Amino acid sequence: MNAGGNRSRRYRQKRWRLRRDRRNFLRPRIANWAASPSVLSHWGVGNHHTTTRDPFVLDEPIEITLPVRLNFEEDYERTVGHFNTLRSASVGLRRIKKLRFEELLFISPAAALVLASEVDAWNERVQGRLRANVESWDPEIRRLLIQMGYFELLGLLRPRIRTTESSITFVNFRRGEPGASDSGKMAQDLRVDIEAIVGTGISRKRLFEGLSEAITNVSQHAYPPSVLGGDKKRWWLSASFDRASRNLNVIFYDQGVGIPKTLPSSDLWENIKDAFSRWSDSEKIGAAMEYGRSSVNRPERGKGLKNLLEFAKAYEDGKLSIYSGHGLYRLEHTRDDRIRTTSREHKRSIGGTLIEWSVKL
Amino acid sequence: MKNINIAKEFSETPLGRFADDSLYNGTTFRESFLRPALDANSKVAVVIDGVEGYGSSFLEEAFGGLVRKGYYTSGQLAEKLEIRFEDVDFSVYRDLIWKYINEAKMESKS
Repeated sequence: MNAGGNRSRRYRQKRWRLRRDRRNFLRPRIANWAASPSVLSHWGVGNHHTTTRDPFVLDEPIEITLPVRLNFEEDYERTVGHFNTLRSASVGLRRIKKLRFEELLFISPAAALVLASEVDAWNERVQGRLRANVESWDPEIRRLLIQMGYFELLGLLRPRIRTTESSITFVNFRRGEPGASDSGKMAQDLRVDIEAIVGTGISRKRLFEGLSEAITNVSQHAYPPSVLGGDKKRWWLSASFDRASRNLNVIFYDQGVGIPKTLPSSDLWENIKDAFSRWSDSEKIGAAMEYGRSSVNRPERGKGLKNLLEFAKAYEDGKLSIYSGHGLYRLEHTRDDRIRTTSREHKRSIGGTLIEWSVKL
Repeated sequence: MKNINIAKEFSETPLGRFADDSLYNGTTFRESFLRPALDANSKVAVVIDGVEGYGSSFLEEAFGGLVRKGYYTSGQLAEKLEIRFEDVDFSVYRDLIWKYINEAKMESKS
C-alpha cells in the first residue's frame, strides 16, 4: 500500500513536470524591451506575495527606469517604447516590479497624460496595490504630477510636499468610461478648470465640439467588441497652460485600436479599400479627417472628425495633432486662414489615439 | 405651441448619439423629449442656447434621426419645428440642425 502510494506520488510529480515543461515551451517570449532594469524604486507593486500568478506571464518581474525626457515631439520612439512596456504589464503579458522616476527631468503634458493612463491601467491590473516613493523625484516632475492629480487618479494619498513655482500650470486628469457617465459634464468641468487658470476668454463652444467628437469616437469606434478589453472604453483628458508663452494644450487619449485599424466600410471606402490597405497610418488618419470615419455603413455616422479641428481653427496658429497607431497627422491654422497639414510615420505605435489641441491665447 | 429648453429641461452638456457616449445623448433627447412633444403638439419650439455647445453627433441623432427613423419627413418638420435662441453664436447650430434634417434619409426597415 505504501509502495502504491509512492508510485502514485511519483506519477503525479512526473505529470506536473511534463505540464511545467509544456507551459514553459508555449510561454510567449518578449524581446527588445525599451526599458532597462535598474536598482532603486519609485513606483512599486506592494504586497508581492499575494500577486496572482498568470501562467502566460514571463517569470521575472522587471524594473523600468523612465528616461530623462518623455516627449512625443522630439523623443517619440523612446517615449513610446517605455509606454509599450508599461502596457504589456497592464494587459498581463509582463510583470513590472518597479517603475523608477528618478532620472526623469522633463515630461510633456501629452506624455504625462499617456503615462498616467498606462499606470492607471497597470494599477487596475494589480488591484490598486501600487505604491509611490516621491522623495527622490525631480521637483518639477513631482509638482507636475501632483498638480495633474496623478495620485488621486491612482487612489493614492497626495504627497505632503511643498511644490515649486513654475510658469506651467496643469489641470487635473480626468478618466472617462462611456456608458453610465455624464461625459459632457466632464468636458465642461475641464473647461471651467482651464478658465480658472487663463480667464474666461477661451472658445468654449469649439472646445466642447472637439471634446464631444473625441469622446463619441471612443465609444463608437476605438474599442471594437472583438478586441480584447473592448468592453473597457476608457479615455483620459487633461490640459496645461504655459503663462510665459500663453500656450494652452488640451490633450485626450484612448487606448483603443486606433483610427487606422478601424477599417471603414462605407460605400466611398469600399471603392478605395485596396489602395487604403497600402496607405501609411498617417495617410489613413488624414483620409479619415477629410472624408469621415464611418466604420459602420451609415452615411450619417463618422463625419464628426472634422469637429476636432474647430477649436484649433478658432485661434491664429492653432494646432491639432492626432497620433494614432504609427502615424501622426497634424493640422495647423495659419495666419492667412488656411489649414496646413503635416504628417509623420513612426516605428512604434502609440497604442491608441492621442489628440492634442495647442493654441496660443 | 410647446416649448422645449434643452439646457433647462434636458442638459447643459448634451453629448453624443447613444447611451454609450453619455447619459445626455441625442437618442435620449429625441425619444424622451422631442418626438413625444412633436407627436402631441402641432408646433414645437426648441430653445437651443444656454448649453456648453453641441457636437455634430448629438444634433444629427436628435434631429436628423427624426427623419431617418421615419417619424417625420423634412417637410413636416419644416411646418412643426422651430429652433429658437437669443445668443447669436448658436445660429451655426440652427443651420446644422436643418442641414441634418434635410440630408437625412429614412432607413429601410429590412
